[in-house]
Amino acid sequence: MYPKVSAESLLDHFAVLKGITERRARTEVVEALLRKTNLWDVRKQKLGGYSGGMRQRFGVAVALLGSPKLMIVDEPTAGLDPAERVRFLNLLSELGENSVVLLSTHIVDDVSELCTRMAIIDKGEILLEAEPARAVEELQGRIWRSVISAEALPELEREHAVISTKLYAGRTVAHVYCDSTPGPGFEPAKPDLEDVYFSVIRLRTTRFGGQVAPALSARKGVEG
Amino acid sequence: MKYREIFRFEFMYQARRVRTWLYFAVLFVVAHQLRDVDNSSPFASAQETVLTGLLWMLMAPAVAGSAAARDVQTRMHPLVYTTPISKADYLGGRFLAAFVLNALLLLAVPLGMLAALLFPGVKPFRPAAYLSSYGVLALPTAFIFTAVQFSLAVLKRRAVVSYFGGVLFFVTVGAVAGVVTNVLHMPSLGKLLDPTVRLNVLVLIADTFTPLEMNTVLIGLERSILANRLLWIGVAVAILAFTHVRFRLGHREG
Repeated sequence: MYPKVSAESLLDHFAVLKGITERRARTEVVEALLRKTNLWDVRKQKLGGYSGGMRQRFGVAVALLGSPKLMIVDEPTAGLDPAERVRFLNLLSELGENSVVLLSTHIVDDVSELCTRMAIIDKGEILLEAEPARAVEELQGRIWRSVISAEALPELEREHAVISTKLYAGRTVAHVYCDSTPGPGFEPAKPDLEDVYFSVIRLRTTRFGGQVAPALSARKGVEG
Repeated sequence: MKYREIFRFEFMYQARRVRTWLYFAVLFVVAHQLRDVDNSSPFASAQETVLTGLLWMLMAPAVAGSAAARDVQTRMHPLVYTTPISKADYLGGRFLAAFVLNALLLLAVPLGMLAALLFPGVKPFRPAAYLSSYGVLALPTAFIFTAVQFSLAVLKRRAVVSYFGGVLFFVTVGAVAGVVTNVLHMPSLGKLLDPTVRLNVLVLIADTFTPLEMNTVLIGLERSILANRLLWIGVAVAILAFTHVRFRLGHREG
């Protein structure tokens, strides 16, 4: 962003570049977009003083000039504080009502909060294409968790389809994919989108891949 | 319309900056101080115009460089380049803004010299001397150097290249003109080769003019100067055309 210019005048400049040449139409569009992106109160401020989230929203305001039918946003929430992130996602969801928003992100929460449809891409290949809620549902009763020590992990990985491990209060919590109960020491876990992601990505390259594939990939054929 | 808007925005952006006014003030003061109140001959005006022009060359890269490379350096270019503008609109608007800014900066020189006239007892005011110095010596130099610095920064996508490239250009053509004149003894060619007309005005004319000529002849209308200006304006236009061809409104260089 140019540091030494106000959001209002830069947006107005972009409006002209995008072909909105009539002054009154431009003033209206600029005001509407600044209100929509919640920048109206700070419109006179120099962009150099904007926070990361404000800049992101300004970028969206620029992109929205000329009402695009398709918007592609790449990692929009990277580096935003939690409040800004929520505001930005709300903005995107609002935009999604009238146009197609393609969101590329590695933050799973962004997807579960915002997206009605998603695809998981790994090394250029679409591994899964689904509705997030449906995909999570598919895993119902198939995800199990076990609290183990770090040393026990290699053995667990040999025996079971471990999709993710996390530290929780110093202990390792492993999520395992299994169609039926994997045995003692496991308790059923409520699947979330992260489990979907990991089961698709992690197990793809292991011998357990064949098990997971049918449950989720079945959708691919139907919807893709 | 878009061309005008790009020009307007760039011009206003830099005109609002303190830096720009500081340059103007420095040129004004220096031109004013250089002025010898007892000698306001056309030759003295020309000499001072050329001298302050050398000072200006240290400021100009900032103006041309930021007009040329600000988009890339502030990472605005993905937003700007995807608007429906043409290369000609974009480069033309930006270049013209840089040139007009520089031309206005250089206006500080005749203004500074004129301010000296406010002192009582100074020789009569000859507008032609100031006009020809500004129009024939200062403006074409501004055009040539802005074109060089702007093109370098656009093609290399970095403002600082304006400085180094501009200085390198200045030193090289100065050295070549010097060698041609003094070593090869071809002064008429040497006069042509120096786009700042420094050599011609400060050395050659100073050595050959009689006091009467210095007081009466308008340097800007000398044949050797006019030929030099025409040649270099042509070169500058060619450089700008080359830049237009090479420039891409795209993500990467080249």
